[in-house]
Amino acid sequence: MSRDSLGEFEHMVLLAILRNGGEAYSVPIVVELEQRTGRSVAPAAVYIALRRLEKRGLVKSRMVENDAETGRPRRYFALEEPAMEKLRDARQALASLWDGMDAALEGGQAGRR
Amino acid sequence: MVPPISPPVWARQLLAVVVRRDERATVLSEMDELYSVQIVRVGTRRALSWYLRQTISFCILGLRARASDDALDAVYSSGKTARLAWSTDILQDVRYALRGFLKSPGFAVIAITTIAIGFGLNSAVFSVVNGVVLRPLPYAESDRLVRLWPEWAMTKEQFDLVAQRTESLVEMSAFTEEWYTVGGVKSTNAGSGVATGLSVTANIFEFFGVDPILGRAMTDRDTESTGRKTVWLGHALWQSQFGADSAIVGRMIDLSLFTTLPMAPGAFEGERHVVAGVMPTGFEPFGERVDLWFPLRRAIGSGTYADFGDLEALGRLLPGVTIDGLAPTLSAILAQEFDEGVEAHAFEATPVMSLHQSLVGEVRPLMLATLAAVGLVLLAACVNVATLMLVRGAARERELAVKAALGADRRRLLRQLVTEAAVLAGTGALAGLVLAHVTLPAIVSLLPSDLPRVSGIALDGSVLMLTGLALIVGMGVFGLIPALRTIPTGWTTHGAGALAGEGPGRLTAFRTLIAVELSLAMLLTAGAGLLLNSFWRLTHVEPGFDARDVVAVQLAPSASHFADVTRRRQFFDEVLTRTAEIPGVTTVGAIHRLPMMDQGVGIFYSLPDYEAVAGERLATQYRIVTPGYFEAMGISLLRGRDLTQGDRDDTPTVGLINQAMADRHWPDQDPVGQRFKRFNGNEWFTVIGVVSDVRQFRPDIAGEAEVYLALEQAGWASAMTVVVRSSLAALEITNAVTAIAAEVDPTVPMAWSDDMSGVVARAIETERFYLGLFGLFGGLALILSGIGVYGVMAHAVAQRKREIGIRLALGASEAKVVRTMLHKVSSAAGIGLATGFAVSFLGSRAIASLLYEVDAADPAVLLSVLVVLGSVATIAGWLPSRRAAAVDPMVTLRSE
Repeated sequence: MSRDSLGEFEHMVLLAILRNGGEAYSVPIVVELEQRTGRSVAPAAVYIALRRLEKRGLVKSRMVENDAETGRPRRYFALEEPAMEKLRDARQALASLWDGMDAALEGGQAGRR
Repeated sequence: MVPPISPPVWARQLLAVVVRRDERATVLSEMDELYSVQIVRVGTRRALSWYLRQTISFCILGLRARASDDALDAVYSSGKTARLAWSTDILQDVRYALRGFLKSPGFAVIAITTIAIGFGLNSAVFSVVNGVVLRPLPYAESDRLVRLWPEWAMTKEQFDLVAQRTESLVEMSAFTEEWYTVGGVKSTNAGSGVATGLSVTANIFEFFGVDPILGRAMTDRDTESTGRKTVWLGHALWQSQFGADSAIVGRMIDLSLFTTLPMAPGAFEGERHVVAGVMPTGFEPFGERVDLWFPLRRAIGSGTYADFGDLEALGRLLPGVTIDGLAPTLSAILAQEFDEGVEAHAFEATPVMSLHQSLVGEVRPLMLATLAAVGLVLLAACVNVATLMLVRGAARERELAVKAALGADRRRLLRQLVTEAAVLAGTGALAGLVLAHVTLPAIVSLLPSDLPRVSGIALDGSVLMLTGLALIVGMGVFGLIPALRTIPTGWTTHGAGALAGEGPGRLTAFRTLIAVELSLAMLLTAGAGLLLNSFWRLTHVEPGFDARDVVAVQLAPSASHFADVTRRRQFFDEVLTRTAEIPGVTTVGAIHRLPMMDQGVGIFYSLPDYEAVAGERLATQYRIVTPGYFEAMGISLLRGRDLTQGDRDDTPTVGLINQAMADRHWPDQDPVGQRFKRFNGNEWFTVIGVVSDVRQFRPDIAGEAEVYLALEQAGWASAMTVVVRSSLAALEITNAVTAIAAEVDPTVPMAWSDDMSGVVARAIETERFYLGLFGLFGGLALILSGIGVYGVMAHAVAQRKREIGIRLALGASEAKVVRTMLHKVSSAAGIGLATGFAVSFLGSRAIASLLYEVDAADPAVLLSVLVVLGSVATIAGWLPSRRAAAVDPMVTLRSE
């Protein structure tokens, strides 16, 4: 996997941010991922993914020292334009790959070589 | 604003440790929020478990994310939690390590054995030191318990006065020690028929905050001299003599006091006591087992005790009062109130010290020195394993280089090597704990019998904690350091290493380890050498008597039963006469305090024409003997005559003196015929003979001035020790004397017996114990250093096989090759030995108190040890070099 492409988990983290209105901190991301995928998600993994996404310029973070909700610090991550581009590309690629395959998937056999 | 619920502080702290500093504040706060979410979902307990799992994830993922870019996806997409993924990795490493060890079992066995011995010894010795010295006394606010005048026993009146005059003490308590036989129990084993009793002030249980497990507490009514006599049983006696009978309270038991203390007839009337309670197990406030607790009810202070009081006083400090603060007050009381009737040494003695200090203060320095020494043994073991691991790592260079070439990064290799070390350390430590568990009872049985608090020795939590801590430090020494040195730093390491011998880094590491090992061995062996030298001298001291073929049997008639001195004398006369008739018995006598067992009884005395300087009081010790005692013990009669059967209570009072006493008062004249008088007595004793000096208490303490008095004339003491010189075995004599005593008077039990050589040996058992321990330490360190040097040399030789082959082929002599190889380690060995030599000079002072006629920095001993160690190092280095040099060079060269 090249450094350019998105890992599966990174992909999902970006989507979770998107679903939270394009900017979110770790808690809603974790909750969103767990609800959507039905798996437990390690917050540590989310933090590390976010750290790396930021390093690659895909997200941008800002610190809030006293959040209005809890009065405690939070770090919000917002999607940057390159991330949006990557998500669009990925979606398009997948969509084109999936095109016309609904019947095969339902049949259960046709997709296999 | 609704702040989230936080997990427990410790869990939060744990997380704080494992997350990156720049993310700490946000991660902690956001994890609090997630924790709150978890609480709603699964409840508090499972939320905490979740939180801890996440902490582990942070810890692991922090490392993994840096190690591999794909780790995150791997963790996530594997569908397992990070914890599982991690433990799978660890398991893999452990499995790999085990496979490696199975491939070269020799290394694993030596390493694990070394660690096991190091840890085992440490755990065992720490258990002892912890139980005896380090652990606080098991009583509430035990740091406030103090002992008043630990070296001086006072009378009841003095005690009451001190209690009245000191405001810094909340409570005071006191006790006095006595020996009893219980229920007429007779025994053939030394000591087992004797019970230790304490007469105590009624508040003593309350003072220590300990309640009887059966029966009632002691009250002031128990100390009144009218009414039934009560006794509380110690737990051990209750179990051994009364079968842990729960209905014991209220029962009457027979107790007979026997004593070698001066005691007036009738001081201990009546022997039937009603059991009022049983004390809990381990209640040994004075460091030794107590079997019987009596309320202090004798009329002490009314002249029953001859010259001295006998109460040992205790206090509990008020909050805020320190020992140093109390000392001047006590000294002032002593000076103002007790100027008369107090021994001179009481004024010089420490007036107050903590109870803990008074119990273990004397043994503490040696115990701590032992702990330090055993710590050094552990260090030597760790260093040795590090050396072996380094050697092994060097041999595995090829394997590691291949792995590195295939893409394993430094961190991954490091983890594998550390895991291997951890497997060794873990297995070794576990084996060590088992070893400690198995050997601890044996070590305890070898401890000097006068060591206090022995019953508190156990492999407990603190020992496990220390072992764990030592394990971590040990892991650092023999895991991480060799691992860091072993991991290839680049591509070229392997090729260069094989051709040019060792890289400079590892060679330095080898040399350092060898130097450390040898210096540790030097230090420990020097300690053992000094103790050995001293012990040899101790066992060759001329004690002033001939211990060979002499058996001592103590008979313990009760004080009340033999209140009449004539009756007591008749009893011993008959026993001695009949013992002398046993075939094989040469001579028989008896003494009330056996040399090397007990001090004599201290007395003040005066002389007819001696003018004392103001304040001076002549003091000496006396022992009560029967005719024949000196001959039986092989003590020379230098002048005059021995006691005879004719020296009775109605004949003139006489005594023998020793040479030291003669030198003190009559250096230029014949002491025979001179007279002395006891401080509290009226009769003048006439000196009838002079005997040679005897080492009275220990072989290393020269005899002091002493007098010997006749049984019927000296007055007190119920117990006497029969001394038999014969060609018979000790057990035969013991049985015969016990049987004769029982025939003469069935109420008289035997207290203990031993042959005289055993008595002498027991007097120096502390020295023997420490010699054994330090000998073991020194021997181990010696072996370890030998193994270490051998391992390094064997490795160096293997590495340079090719070079050696070429040298030999080119005509170098074997000797020259061996010399060249030895040269590799000789400087390191030299530095190690020199350092060890220097450290020994200073370090051996820690055991100076054990040394007799040997200086702690005795050059002869230290040099001998140096020579021994140097030889061991040379041989260990020479063997592999010799083997390499003996190989046909062509064989070596062809094999490359």
